Amino acid sequence: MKVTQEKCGCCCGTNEMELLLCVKEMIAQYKGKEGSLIQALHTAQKIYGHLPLEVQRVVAEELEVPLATVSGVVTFYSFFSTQPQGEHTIRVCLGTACYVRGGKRIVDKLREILNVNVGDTTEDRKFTFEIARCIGACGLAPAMTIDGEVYKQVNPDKLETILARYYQEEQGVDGNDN
Amino acid sequence: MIELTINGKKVTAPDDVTIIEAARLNDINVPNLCYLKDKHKFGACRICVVDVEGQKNLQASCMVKAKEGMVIHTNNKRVREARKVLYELLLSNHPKECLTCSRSQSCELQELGYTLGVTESRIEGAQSPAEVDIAPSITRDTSKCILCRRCVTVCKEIQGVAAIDTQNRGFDSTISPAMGLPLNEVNCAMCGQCTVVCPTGALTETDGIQRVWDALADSSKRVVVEVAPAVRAALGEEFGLEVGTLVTGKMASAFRELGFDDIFDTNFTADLTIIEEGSEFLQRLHSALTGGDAVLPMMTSCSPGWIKYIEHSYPEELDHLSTCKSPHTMLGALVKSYYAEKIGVDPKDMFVVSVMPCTAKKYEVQRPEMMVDGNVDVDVVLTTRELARMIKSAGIDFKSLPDSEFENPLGFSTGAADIFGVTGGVMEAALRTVWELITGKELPFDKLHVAPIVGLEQIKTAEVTIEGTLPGYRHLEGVTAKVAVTSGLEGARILMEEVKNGTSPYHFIEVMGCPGGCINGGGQPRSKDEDYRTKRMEALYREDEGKELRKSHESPAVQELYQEYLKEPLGHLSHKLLHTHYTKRDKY
Amino acid sequence: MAMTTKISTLAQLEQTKSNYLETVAQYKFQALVCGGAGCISSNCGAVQEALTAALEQNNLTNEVQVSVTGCMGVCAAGPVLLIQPEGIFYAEMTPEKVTEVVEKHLVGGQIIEEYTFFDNTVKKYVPKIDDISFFKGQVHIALRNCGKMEFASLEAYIARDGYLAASQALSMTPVQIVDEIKKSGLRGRGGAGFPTGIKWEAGLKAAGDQKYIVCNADEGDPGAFMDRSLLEGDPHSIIEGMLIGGYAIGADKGYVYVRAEYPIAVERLSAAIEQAREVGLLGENILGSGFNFDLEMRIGAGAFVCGEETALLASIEGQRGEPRQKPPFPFESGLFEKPSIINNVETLANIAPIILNGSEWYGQYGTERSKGTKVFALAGNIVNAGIIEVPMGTPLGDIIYKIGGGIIDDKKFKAIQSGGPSGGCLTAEHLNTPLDYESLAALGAIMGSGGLIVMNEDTCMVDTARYFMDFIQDESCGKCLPCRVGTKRMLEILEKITEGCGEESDLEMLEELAGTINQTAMCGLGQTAPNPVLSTIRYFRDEYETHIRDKYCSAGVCADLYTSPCQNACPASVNVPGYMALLASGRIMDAYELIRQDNPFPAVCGRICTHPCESHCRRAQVDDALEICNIKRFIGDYALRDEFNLPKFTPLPPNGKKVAVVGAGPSGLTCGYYLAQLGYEVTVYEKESTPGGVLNWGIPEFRLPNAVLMKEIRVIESAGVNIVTGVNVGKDIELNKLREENDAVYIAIGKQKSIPLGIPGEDMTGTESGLSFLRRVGKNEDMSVPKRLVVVGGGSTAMDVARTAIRLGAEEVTVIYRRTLSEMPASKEEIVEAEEEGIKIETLVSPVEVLGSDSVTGIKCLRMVLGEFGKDGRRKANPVAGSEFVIECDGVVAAVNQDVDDSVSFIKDEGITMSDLLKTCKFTSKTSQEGIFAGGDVSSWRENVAITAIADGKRAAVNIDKYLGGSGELNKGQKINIPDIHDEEVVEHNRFPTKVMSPEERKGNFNEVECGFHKLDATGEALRCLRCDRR
Repeated sequence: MKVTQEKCGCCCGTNEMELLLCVKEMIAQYKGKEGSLIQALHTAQKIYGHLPLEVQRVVAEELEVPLATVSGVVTFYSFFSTQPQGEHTIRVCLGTACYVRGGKRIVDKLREILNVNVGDTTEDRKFTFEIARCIGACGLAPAMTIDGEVYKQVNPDKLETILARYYQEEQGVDGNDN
Repeated sequence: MIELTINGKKVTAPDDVTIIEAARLNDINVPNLCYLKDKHKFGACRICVVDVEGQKNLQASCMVKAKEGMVIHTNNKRVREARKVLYELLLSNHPKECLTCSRSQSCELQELGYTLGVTESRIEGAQSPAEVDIAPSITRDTSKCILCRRCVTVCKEIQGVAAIDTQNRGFDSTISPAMGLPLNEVNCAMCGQCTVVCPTGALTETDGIQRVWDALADSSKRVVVEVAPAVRAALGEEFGLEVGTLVTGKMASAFRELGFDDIFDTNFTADLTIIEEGSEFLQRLHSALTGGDAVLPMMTSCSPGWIKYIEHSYPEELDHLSTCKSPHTMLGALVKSYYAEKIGVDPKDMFVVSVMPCTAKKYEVQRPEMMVDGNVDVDVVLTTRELARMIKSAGIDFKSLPDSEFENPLGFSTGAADIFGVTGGVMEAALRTVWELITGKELPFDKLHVAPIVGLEQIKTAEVTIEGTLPGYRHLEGVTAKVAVTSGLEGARILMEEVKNGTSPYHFIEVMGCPGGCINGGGQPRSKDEDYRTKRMEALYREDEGKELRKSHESPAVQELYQEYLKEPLGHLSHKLLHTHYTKRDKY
Repeated sequence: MAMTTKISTLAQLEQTKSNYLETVAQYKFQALVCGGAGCISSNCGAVQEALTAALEQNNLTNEVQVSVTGCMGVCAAGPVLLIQPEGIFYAEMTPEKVTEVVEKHLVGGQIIEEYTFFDNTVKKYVPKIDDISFFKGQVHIALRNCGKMEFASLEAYIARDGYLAASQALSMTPVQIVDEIKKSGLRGRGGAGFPTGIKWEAGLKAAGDQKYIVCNADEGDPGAFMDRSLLEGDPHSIIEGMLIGGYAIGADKGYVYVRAEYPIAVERLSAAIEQAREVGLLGENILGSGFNFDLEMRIGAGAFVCGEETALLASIEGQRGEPRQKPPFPFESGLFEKPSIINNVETLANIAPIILNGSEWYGQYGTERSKGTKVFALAGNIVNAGIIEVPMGTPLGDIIYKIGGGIIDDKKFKAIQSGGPSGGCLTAEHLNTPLDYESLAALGAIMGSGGLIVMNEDTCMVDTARYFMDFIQDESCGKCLPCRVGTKRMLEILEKITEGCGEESDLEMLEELAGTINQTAMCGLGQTAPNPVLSTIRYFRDEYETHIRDKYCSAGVCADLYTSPCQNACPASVNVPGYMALLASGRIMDAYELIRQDNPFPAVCGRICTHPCESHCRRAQVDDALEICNIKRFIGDYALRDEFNLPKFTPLPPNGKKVAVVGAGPSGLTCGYYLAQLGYEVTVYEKESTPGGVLNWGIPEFRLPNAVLMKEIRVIESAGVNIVTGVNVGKDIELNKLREENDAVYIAIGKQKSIPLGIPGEDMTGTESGLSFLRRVGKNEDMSVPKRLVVVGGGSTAMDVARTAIRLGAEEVTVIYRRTLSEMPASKEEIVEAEEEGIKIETLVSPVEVLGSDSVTGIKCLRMVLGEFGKDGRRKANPVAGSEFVIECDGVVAAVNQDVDDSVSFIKDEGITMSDLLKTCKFTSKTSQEGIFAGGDVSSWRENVAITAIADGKRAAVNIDKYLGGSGELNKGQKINIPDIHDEEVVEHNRFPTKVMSPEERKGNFNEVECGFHKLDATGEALRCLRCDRR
């Protein structure tokens, strides 16, 4: 079974139903307050992690704003995400220096390993895969970052080893929990 | 009044009008696209830009107010060149399928190219993301959308539904329901008002024509056609006839030319609706006045867009709706029972086509509630626009057709049925009958028109104190009956808020989903005539006044149906064939 | 320090101030740690912790007050620490360094100079903040508190006269405030520069009970972060500005719209609002005035367009941030359809000082129409990247070179983008431009919010335009057609150009689209969206054309247009990584042939090339750039090591067409060589007795031995090029005749005329030009040199003259140059070697008169000083009055510049002058005369160096072939397969050594100074190549 792990801003439960209730509770403060849709969406995203249809529905009903309008606002602003974000964010630099040193080969290889396209999150929600314009590590090209940590002179063949580390961490945590 | 100069001419205009209006009032047309007079001022397409002296940039004439002393050029080189590039930009993000597009030759974008004299398109590039969504009533092809947002304004502000809105940003913008859901899965009322204002082929009625051709070609099928009252007041426009021309007779002939086996009139069941709905109303009124358990106000149920709206928005208030089906499904049900029996055809071999001014009816006939004994009441709904297309493609010269009659037994109607197509019409027709039933006297209004509820205003109300009641209706003596009429769903929302809060003073409310009623339905021709609604309305009143019988209960055909088949209003068969129930739906 | 007491009177305000100042006075030192966003990223938190710990350890907690401040400005040098009252400024702190500062400085009283700020303008460490060039030209009004006080302390703010202006304002009438702001000349700092006072007046006059004041803190321009610094470093100044503004226009409610990307700003501003509310500086009856005012913060959600005021209002209202048509303007109908005044953060930060000090005080700064100061964010290729505040009208050059510390790695300044994606660029010719609203607008740029992105020579302007267009189209809201589709189409065209698929009509289309978008878009964002494109086309049209016609990106940015940066930088496009790989795998002859495919002078260029390839080598980012030039020399020398081993080439069979080349210099010979390879019958006419042109007689033996040159010329001859020497075209044979007898003619006569100094006494005996000196010596005609020689000039010619003269026995050689060493056109090595050889170089000196009666006795000079910037972006040298001095000497050589010799004209009969003829098309090498081509040093748009002459010759060969019906594809012989080298981790390794003669060994002889690589070292060096060509 796939276990989905949502990041929650508050201390309430972790399953989706509980989170939705939490969203409902937390955005009640905006009810009837002029023009607070965006602030309510910020709150909801903080709690739920992202803003899928079911969260938007809650916001629409609570604030009495049409759902299509809510979704219109959500999809307008880049800060709001309708897709769950991965636990870790990989950014491959495609600045010029990295590009000429094979940054694109890293992108291709990662696409293959993670089985997702740029901008998407893996099915297990482990990684979100993005591209950066330039991370200012041109002397270390080709470079990428995972959660802000810089990996320099990345060899596509070594990618699997690098990623494995993040899976091992996870197993360790699981071990403790059980 | 203000004075200004347009294209070198000194002209005057009223205060507080936009430049485009000021120009129009002085017989100068400024090419435009997204602008829709009185309905939609948005400034999205910028085609209507003009050169105002002293301004750095070109000004969108649909948005900017005309001011005293302005010197405006609507057609100089600067303006023309900008418009041309703008038009090329539009084309660069639009499929070049004009020849096979259903809007070919009725497309505002196409026409604009001609108006602007654009003869080349130099710009190419990637296309914005697009989707095709075929809902029962409405087909969305966003590749053809030019983001004028007329549909959003109509849906959100005029209809108050907001099923669709602008999604995403920039070049990826689309008009769609939330998160790209299909229309059928959201609170869309299927009213089709968006398809009327859409300038291109992005929003159209979902095609029903092919199934009709197939049925007509199938010799095992008995193909019956019925047509709604509002169609006869507008169909002629598709053939270049003056707005408001009645084409009842030509239409009947056209049906015959097309090869329909039986040519009936939804008007017949409009009269029948009055009997059933009137009886239901009197029953509720009686029950309420005698301390019984009755839900008032009662609300009409002929408009399927309205029905879908209330199911989504006020699911707790469905008891207010009359249980009567809409007239065309009533007719369909009778065709497949009463008439089928009469001519000895298996109802399964009957194929009912209804021609409606409405797109919501396409959805309505697919509802599980609109079936009797496993047979759908109506097989296919065509809009007025689709009928016109069929007539054209069959090579029929509509304008030269002779007049002919509907057929019996389901083709006869009184004048009361004709006005079903206009806001206030159902209420008036009901009052004509109910009043006479209660008092034995004719409704005390000039030409039988209940003046306070005639007209195109959003909400109209009337009240009459009942006096001189006949025996059996004494409980109504002295009662002041209050009625309200609204058209357009925003008006319905206003009245429903009162109903929901328990403050509604009315006994009976007529609601039509489209502003102005069915004459302005989502399936009607797209008119450029500024007064098209009034003209169509007047046509229907003319049709009514031209008839000998103008009260539904006077219809001998309806009387015969009761005698031969239904026996009594609200009887067992009526309930089986003519009445229905409703479904609670989610708000979004 | 939580404040508990309310501040509801002026007296209480003043009491708070004096209380705080008393507390401060108890400390001996103030240690101010910058807590700006830049320093946070460089982990100033750890530095602050280490500082506190060290103070505790040294028992200094009662003597040193530690404050975390707002941004001090020098973000690139963070984390920074300022010790007051001494004003010692430490940069690039680490926990270890700061501990040392405590021990040595705060305990021991000894300043650690090498930890202080390195001032790149004066190239040394400058401990005192007041002496640092970065701070010297600045005037802090908006930034008055940033970096000077604890940002989180309301008391600290009050102690610096915070809320005093508010108190003063509340005792004035709104009309008085509006008048004062109007008089100050303050203009909106958000971009458009609308006068703030007039805006407030409109707000004050607007009818309505409910009005709003809105602070636009949605600073979205990439590269702009000044509002962020203010919000984070001095939040109360914004609150105070809004409070005064609210009172002035009659608004009791304000909104601050902050972008979500600034979480620290959100946090600090909300804390400040909370503080102000707690003490009653926000809320009801503020300071007993009866005026009520409160603030609400709204957080954006990531949309650049929300910086546009109507979009911002829509966003505050919770809608899609789509702008709407103006009018109505927000002051008529704004937020929630109520009159609203929208001010930018920086504008609001200026309000309190203006109220406090008066409009006259404010007006002393800035220019006539742009009053006050402006905060700029300096970013890009600039040393002191960070935040600055300078008086309006400060020249751009001062900002870049004085305050900004110049360009990183001393590269060339190319352009500056002002005003972000809505702005435009300024170039080297605009360095004297005063930065104010009017001057910028006149040049097609805008002030914008104040982001200045500095770009160096390695920036491609087409790509920059593409970058901004990408940004803008990504951020277009999509409401109106021109912006939604137009920017996308413009981007697509730019992408096409940068990918090498541009067409000639593209520029026209770009301009047409830009015009339409500008004219018709609904909002400011759309209207200004084409600016970066228009502006780059205006100043760098040439670069666009090169991308489109030559598919060439000179900056080496457009990745699709080149394989490796070094090859791209080489004018002749030699496959550098290719020959590195060949050499590394031992295939030296193949390496030589590979070079020859693009340059027939490997051994020559290996000695005298200016090697632009090396300055683009990516290896420099790891350790040192590859020594490409010397490797080429090694390969050349190896291939040419014996006469009988000359490489053989097989030209295509003769095609029956004849081409004449005028001038046997590098350009003419190259052209002839590649044409001969294609089967043309080529004759090269040379007026001197030997071929080689300047390479032959103009470069001394100790830099380029004649034998090497002759070997390579012989290889060219062996390819079928017929060189006829001693024939002066125009005298011995008419050009017309040449043209008639051949199918095409290529003119590559170089620049043979020295430009005179233009000073008295120049005609005197003992004065000659650099070229004539080198010619007579180089051709062994006259080897005499004066005892004491002065050479005027700073280029290679000047150096060659000086070094030759000293070898020929001159006793004293002085080179005088009007600018400084770093501006000298001669290469660094040449300068160093010249000095080693005993040549005296006097910079900032300009000659005014050659002295003497019959012959030279001296030269009168003036000292110079660098002044304003010239059109070429270099500082002009201005004479220092009264600084005349004389250098005694017996001879003067003027080697300042050269020009095409106009005395030679070979088509007189047609009335066409030489210069007319040589106006060649850059892309086709064609002259105005049918069938006549020209190139090399005679072309006006290229540097006069050998490699560009060679490149031009090659280009002419291509164009002549095309003209004569060929495909324009050169015959490069057999394809040489380049070996792939296994990926290995890059290990740092500096350059391998080459041998250079010592100054002693060089004395009195013309032996080569540079001796090149040993084979092993050459191979090692080649292995350092990162192989950027592999993708």
